[in-house]
Amino acid sequence: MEGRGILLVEDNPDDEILTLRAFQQGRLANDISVARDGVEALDFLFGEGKFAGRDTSRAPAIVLLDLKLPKIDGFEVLRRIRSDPRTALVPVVILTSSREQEDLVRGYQGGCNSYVRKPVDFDRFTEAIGHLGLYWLLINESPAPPGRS
Amino acid sequence: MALRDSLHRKLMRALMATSLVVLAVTCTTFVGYEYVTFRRELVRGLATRAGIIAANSTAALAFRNEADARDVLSALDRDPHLIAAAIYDEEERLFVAFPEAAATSLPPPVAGTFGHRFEASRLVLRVPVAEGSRRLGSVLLVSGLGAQFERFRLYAALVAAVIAASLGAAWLLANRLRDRIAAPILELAKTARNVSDHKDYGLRARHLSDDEIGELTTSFNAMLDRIEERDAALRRTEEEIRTLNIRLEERVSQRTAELEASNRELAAFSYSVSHDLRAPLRTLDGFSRILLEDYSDRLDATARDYLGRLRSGSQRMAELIDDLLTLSRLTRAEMRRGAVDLTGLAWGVVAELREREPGRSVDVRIEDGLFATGDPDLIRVALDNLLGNAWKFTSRRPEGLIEVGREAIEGAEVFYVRDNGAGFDMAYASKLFGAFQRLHGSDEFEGTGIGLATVARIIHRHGGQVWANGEVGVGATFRFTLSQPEGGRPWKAGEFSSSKTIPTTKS
Repeated sequence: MEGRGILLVEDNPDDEILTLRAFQQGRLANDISVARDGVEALDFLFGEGKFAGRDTSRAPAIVLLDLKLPKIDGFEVLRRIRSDPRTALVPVVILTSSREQEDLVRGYQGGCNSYVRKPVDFDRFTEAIGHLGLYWLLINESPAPPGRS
Repeated sequence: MALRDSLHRKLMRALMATSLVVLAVTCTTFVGYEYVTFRRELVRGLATRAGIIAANSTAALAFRNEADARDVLSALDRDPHLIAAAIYDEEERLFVAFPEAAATSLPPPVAGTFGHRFEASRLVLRVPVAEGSRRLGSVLLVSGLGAQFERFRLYAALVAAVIAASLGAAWLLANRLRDRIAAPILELAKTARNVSDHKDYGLRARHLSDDEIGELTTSFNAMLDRIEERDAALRRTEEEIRTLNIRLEERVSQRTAELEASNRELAAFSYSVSHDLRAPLRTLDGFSRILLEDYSDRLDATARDYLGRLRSGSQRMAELIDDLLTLSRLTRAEMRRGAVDLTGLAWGVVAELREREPGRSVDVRIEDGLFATGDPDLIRVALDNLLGNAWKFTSRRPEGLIEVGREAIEGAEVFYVRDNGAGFDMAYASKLFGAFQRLHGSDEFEGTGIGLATVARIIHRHGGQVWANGEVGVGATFRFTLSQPEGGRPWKAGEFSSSKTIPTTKS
């Protein structure tokens, strides 16, 4: 598990800074990659576009996925992740502003592992990110990605 | 066509019978009269002849000259109907007879009787023969009634011919009359049948006569006119209603489409609000917090206070957005009607409130068996807000009291939530249910001012009403109705496990 990174898919630079800071405060040392839209996220995961040549056998330990994204939205990114054998088992946590029932249902139907709403209160936001990291990176056991036994 | 036969036959029978009766009476009278007249003439003729014989035989009798007497009688030879004639002397002895062979068949004369008498087939007449006042004898004539029978045979033939001719004429007349009388009736009947069979009120009976049947036809046609008018009016009205319905349906579907479009827009708007409006608030709050954490040594107390205000402002805004979204969701969400256990829901809400603030001691009394029909989720939200308010506004009471119950107001079932909390000034009652309307400062009681707007929206969506009474420092009572189950009938008393109604106090 050690050394496997986090992929944060987030288009809002403010939220990016806040999320990264929350991870820092949670003392979660994993390296965090940031994709700023859906296309970038998929390129990163599948080693395409500007991430061509990236070692895709090293799938991230967790994908934090915003729903409202430029170009390709979060649901579509989730669908592609789940439909590709290389990433089908990667834990995906939807991290979004929305609490719409519709989004929750679509998210879980699409196969997300968790759905977290970003609180406005930064303290609670930090707390939530801390819990998330702690759970998904340290407590939760994920199956090894294919190609690495 | 039983009617036609029957009607024709009846007419025919009536006419024939009338003719027959008239003819019978006429013929009988005529024949009777003729009979009497004929006999009278027969007697008169015979008497005349007897008188002549008597006058001519006076000399023969006076001188008892038989040859002369026979001569006188032989003059009767030319009368074909005369059977016998005889002259008697004054002693009533037969003097001469004609023909002589008839002498024996003559009726014996009765002394002193003169005049005529009819026997079975003959007329017997006797007249006296006298010379001045001296009686000389009598003349007896016997005439056959052949003439009479002949005459009567003729009459019989005549009567038969007349009756036959009359009946024939009557039959012809009846046939024509039958057509003239029956045809209009049959025409009327045919028209009536066609009208009733084909529901064609445009048909009219032909006007074939100017009598009562003609009048009937006119009335019938007039009736058909009116029926046709009404039928046409009815059709027009139906057509109008159909057109109106179609237009109404078009309008409804148009409105529905508009409503759906606006709902979609609203949904898209809410979605957008939900996603986009919160992100900047997070930025505000997050970076204020970071400033406070990372740069606190370079900030004085005022700057820290301002940053704190920035944070609480953004958090408050986030709450407002959440409440607004809840309110708009309530407007859009589809209603799922079912039986709602208000008592159970209320106890659930209270349990949550107690859990949130375990230190509060509030006396909560909820009537048993409060049932209604509605959307359980929505009613739960409404109770959440009403009880939450009651809980909130009794926070400054050492002995808080919250009551939930039911009462009947003008036959309607009304639920209430009452507290003895801060209450409100009735002057502002109208503002209670508007969104973002608050009657208390946020430093006094927290809240966004959307709770009661949410309650009102939920109650209105159920077709109910909500209103409030209150007094500052005494408490508040919120009453609401929900549409009744089963077409407005209130729940039967037996359906409640208990029914202890808390008396209403003016608050």
